[in-house]
Amino acid sequence: MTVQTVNAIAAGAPKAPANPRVALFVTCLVDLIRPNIGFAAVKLLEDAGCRVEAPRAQVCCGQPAYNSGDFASARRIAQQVITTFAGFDYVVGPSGSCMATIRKDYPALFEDDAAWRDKANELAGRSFELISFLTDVLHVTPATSAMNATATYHDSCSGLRSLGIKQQPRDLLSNVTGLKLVEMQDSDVCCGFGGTFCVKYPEISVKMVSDKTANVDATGASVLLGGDLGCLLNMAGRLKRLGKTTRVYHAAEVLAGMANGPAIGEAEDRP
Amino acid sequence: MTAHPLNFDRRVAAGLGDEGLQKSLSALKGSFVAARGRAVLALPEFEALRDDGKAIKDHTLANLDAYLETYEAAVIARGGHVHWARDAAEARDIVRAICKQAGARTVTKGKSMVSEEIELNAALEADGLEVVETDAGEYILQLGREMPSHIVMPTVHKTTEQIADLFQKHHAAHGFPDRTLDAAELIGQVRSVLRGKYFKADVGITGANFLVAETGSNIIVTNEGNGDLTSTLARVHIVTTGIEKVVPTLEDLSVMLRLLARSALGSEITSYTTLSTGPRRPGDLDGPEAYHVVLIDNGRANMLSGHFREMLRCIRCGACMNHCPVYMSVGGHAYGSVYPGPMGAVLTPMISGHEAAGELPHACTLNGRCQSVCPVKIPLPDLLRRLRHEQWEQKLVSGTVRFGISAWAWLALRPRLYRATTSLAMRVLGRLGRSKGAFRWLPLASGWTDGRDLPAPEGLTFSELWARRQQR
Amino acid sequence: MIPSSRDVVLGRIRNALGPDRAARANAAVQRRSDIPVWTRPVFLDDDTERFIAKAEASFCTVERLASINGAGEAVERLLAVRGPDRDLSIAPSLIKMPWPQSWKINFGAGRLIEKVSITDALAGIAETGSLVFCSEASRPASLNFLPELHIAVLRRCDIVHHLEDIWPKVRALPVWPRAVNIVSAPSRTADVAQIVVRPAHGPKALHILLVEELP
Ligand code: SF4
Repeated sequence: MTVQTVNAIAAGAPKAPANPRVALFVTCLVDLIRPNIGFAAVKLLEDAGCRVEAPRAQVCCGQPAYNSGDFASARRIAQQVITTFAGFDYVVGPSGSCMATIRKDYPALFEDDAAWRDKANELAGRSFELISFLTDVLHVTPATSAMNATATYHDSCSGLRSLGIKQQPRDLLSNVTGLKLVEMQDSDVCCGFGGTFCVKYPEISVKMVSDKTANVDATGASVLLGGDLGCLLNMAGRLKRLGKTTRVYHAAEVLAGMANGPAIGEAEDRP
Repeated sequence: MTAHPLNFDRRVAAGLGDEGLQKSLSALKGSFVAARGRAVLALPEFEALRDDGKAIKDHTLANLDAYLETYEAAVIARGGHVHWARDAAEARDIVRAICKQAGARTVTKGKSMVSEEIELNAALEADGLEVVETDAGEYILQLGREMPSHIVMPTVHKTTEQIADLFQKHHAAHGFPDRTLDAAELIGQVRSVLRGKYFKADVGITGANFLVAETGSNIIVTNEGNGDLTSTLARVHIVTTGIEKVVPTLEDLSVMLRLLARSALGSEITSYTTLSTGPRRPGDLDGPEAYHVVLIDNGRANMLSGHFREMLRCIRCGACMNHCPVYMSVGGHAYGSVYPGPMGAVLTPMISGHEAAGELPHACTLNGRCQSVCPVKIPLPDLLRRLRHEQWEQKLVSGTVRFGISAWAWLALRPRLYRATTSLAMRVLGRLGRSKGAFRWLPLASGWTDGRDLPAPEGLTFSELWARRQQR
Repeated sequence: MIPSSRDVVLGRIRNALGPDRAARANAAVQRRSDIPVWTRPVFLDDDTERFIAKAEASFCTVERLASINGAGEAVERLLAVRGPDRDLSIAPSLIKMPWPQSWKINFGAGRLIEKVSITDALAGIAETGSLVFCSEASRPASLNFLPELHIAVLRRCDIVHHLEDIWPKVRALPVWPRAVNIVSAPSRTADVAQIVVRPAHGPKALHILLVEELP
C-alpha cells in the first residue's frame, strides 16, 4: 500500500476527537527489553494531546504464531487483543510490524467468521503505528528535540510495505535539532530479523544483517534509527559483535528527546 | 519434479561459502535489479499495467476450461496437435512418443522451465536421443550436468573460469582446444557448435511464455534467437507448457509482454518475441512439418481452488528472486528445486508436495519485497504463510518449533502468569547484562548469539514501570 | 471406459472452478468482441523519430532511403567493408527489386552459412523500435535469424504507434502466419558471468532500411 492510501484512510476516518483516548499497544519486545521506547511513545502521544492508557492485559499481537502457521493460536491471541483494546478511540504502537498484524492480518485471520471479522475490522480501522499516527492522523509535529549526530534510517519491512511508512519518520526526524539524516544503500531491504527466522536460519540471517550493517557503515553515520525494535536488536547486536560504536535507537526515543541513556545493546556506564 | 528437501542447511552453507556465487549475486544486483528499477521508473504506467496484468490472468484463470478449449480448437484449426498431460510422467511419455513417431535422433531444445520440471532430458536420453540445449545458459548447464539456479539466468552461479574449464573439456572435439576466459569467445564457441545441430534436428522443443487462445499461438521471448532457430529449423516442433500460460487475446498478450521484459531483464522488450502457430503453411520454405503442444497439469489444476490460484498468475519473470534477500544470500541451488526463490518456495510444495519441499516455505522473513515487484501482484508472503499453516496442520513442522510456539502461545493467553514470568526473567537478564549492555553468549540462544550480540533488557518491564507510574 | 487425460485435466479444472461451465464458455466468447482497453504507455514523440531512436538505442542501425530503388546501393555501401563476397539470401518477396547483377542471390530459406540476408517487415513499432515479420511462402522466417548481418526493409508508412497496433495488420493477412517475429535488437546473451555478448545465435547486426515508399 502506498503512503497516499494510508493518508486517504486517515482522511476518510472521522476527524480525530480533541483529546482522544489512546491505548498504547506496547508490543512484547518493548515491554520486556526496552521500556524506554514505550515511555517515549507515551510522551509523544501525551504531548499531542492524547489521553494515554496501557491496558494491563496486553501481551503480544500473536504474530509469531501466525507466521509459524499456527493460525488457531494466532486467532485466540487476536481475540484477546480485540477484547482488551475495545472502546478506545485509537490503538497505537511503536512498531510497524505489530500494527500491520492488527491492521492487515487480523481481518484475514477471521475471513470465515463474520462476527469476529467485523470486530477485527473495527479494531483495524482505529489501530496505527506510532509515527504515522502522529503525522497522518493527528497531523502534529512533536516539540523539537535535539541530537547532535549524523544518523541513517532503516525501513522495517512490514511498516514500509504493509503500512506505507517511509517518508513520515524522515519528515519528523528532520525537525530534530542537530540531527543530520543520510540515506544508506538499500535502506528498504530486510535486515534478516524476521521474527523466529533469525534463530531458525541463523546463517542466512547473519549474512543479511551483515549486508545491512555494511550499508550502515558505508554512510559514516554514528547513529542508526528505525521504527521496529526487533530489527534494531538484530542490527545493534551485529554492530556490537563487529566492534562498531554505532548507536542504535528507536526513532520515537529521539523524537521524544529520550535518547540520552545508553543506546540499544550499549552498557549503562558508557564513557 | 525432483526436489531435495534434505540437507537444506548444508546447501545454504555451501551457497554462503561460495565466493564465486556471492560475487555473481552482487553483480546481479548491479545489473538486472538496477535495470529493472530504471525501466519501471521510465514507465509511469507500470503500476497500472501491473493491475491490468493481474486482471488478465485472474479473468483467464476464472474461465480456464473455456480458454483452454478455445486455444485447443485454434491450434487444431491451424494444423497443430494438442496433447493433455496429467502429470510429469505422462508429459514425458507424450514427448517420447512424438519423437519416436518422427523417427527422431537429434532433439534441439529452447529454454523451457517446464521441461526441467518434468525432467524431460533424462527421459529422452534414455531413449537414445541426442538432446541439445540451445540456450547458452542451459547448454552450459547441460555440459556440467547441473540444475539451473535461476529461472531467467540459469547460470548465474557459474563463474567465467568454471565455464572456460567446461568448454575446454568438451569443445576440443569441435576445434576449440584452447582454454579462453573471453566471454565473447566462449559464446562464439557455443554458436559454432550449435549451428549445425539446428539443421540436423528432427525435433525442436520449446516452452511457452504465453499461449494465446484467440489464435492458438505459443509465444517465446528470447534475446539469443536460439528458440527461433529451434522451432523453425527442426522437422517437428513440440511445445511443452503448463496449462496456466494461456491468455485470451493478442491485446492481452501485449500487456503481459510489457510486464515480462521489464520485470525479468529491465528492458522494454527482448530481442525476439515470436508467435508460433501450427506447422508450415502450404508453399512455406521453412518451418516445421508438424506442430505439437503438450498441455501439462502436474498439480496446477488443484491450485485453482482456494488461495493458491493466485500463484498461477506467475509469468516466471524472476523478479521475486532478484529482489529476495534470502535468495541473494544463498543462491538458487540452496532451494534444491528447479524453481528457486520466493516463487519456487510456493510452487515446489504445490507441485511436489510438502514432504518434498520441506522447509522451503519457512526460509523466508516475509519481508514482502517480492510481492512489491511481482508484475502480477502475487501475494507471495501470504501464500508462504498459508503453506506453513498447511504444514502445521499436517504436523510437518518440527517438534522443537512446534513445542516452542505452542508453549509461548499458551503463556501469552494467560496475561497474569505471563507478566509474572517475564518480569522475573527480565530482572535476571537485566542484572546479568547491565555492565556490558549485551550478551555475547546465552544458554539456548546460540541461534542468535553465534553471529551477533544479544542486547540486554533494561531490567524492569514496561508494564511494571507503568504500574508504578499509575500509582504515583 | 477410461477417461482421456484431456477429460481428467479439464475435469479437475471444472471441479475447482465450479458448475457454471456455460457461463464461463460465454465469458470467453464475449471477451473476443469486448476486449478491455488496457493501459498503454503514453508518448507524444513523432512515430518515425521515436522508432529510429528506440531502434538505435537497441544497437540497430537505421538508414533512411527515399525509395526502395536505392536499396542495392545502400547494401553495397554496407558490404564494402566486408570484402568482395556478395553471396546473400533475399526474401523472395523482394525478388522484383533492382538488385545488382553481380550479386549471387539465394531467393529462399536461410542456409547453414549465411553472412547476409535481406527481408521486408510488415510493420515497425514506434513504442519499442521493433520490426514485425510474418512468415509466408515468399518470406521465410529463418532469414531473420541465420545471417550475421540482417538487413530489414521497412516502409515508413508501416510504422505503428503501439505494440497493439500491429495486431489488426496481422489479423488482416489472408492466412494467419506460422511465425510472427517481433525483432527488436541484434541477438545477445549474458549467460557468461552476466557480460553482454553480441551475437549469441542470431544476427550480430541488424540494419534497417527505412524507405519512404515501395513501388
Ligand atoms: S512470482 Fe511474480 S515476480 Fe516471481 S517469477 Fe512469478 S511473476 Fe515473476
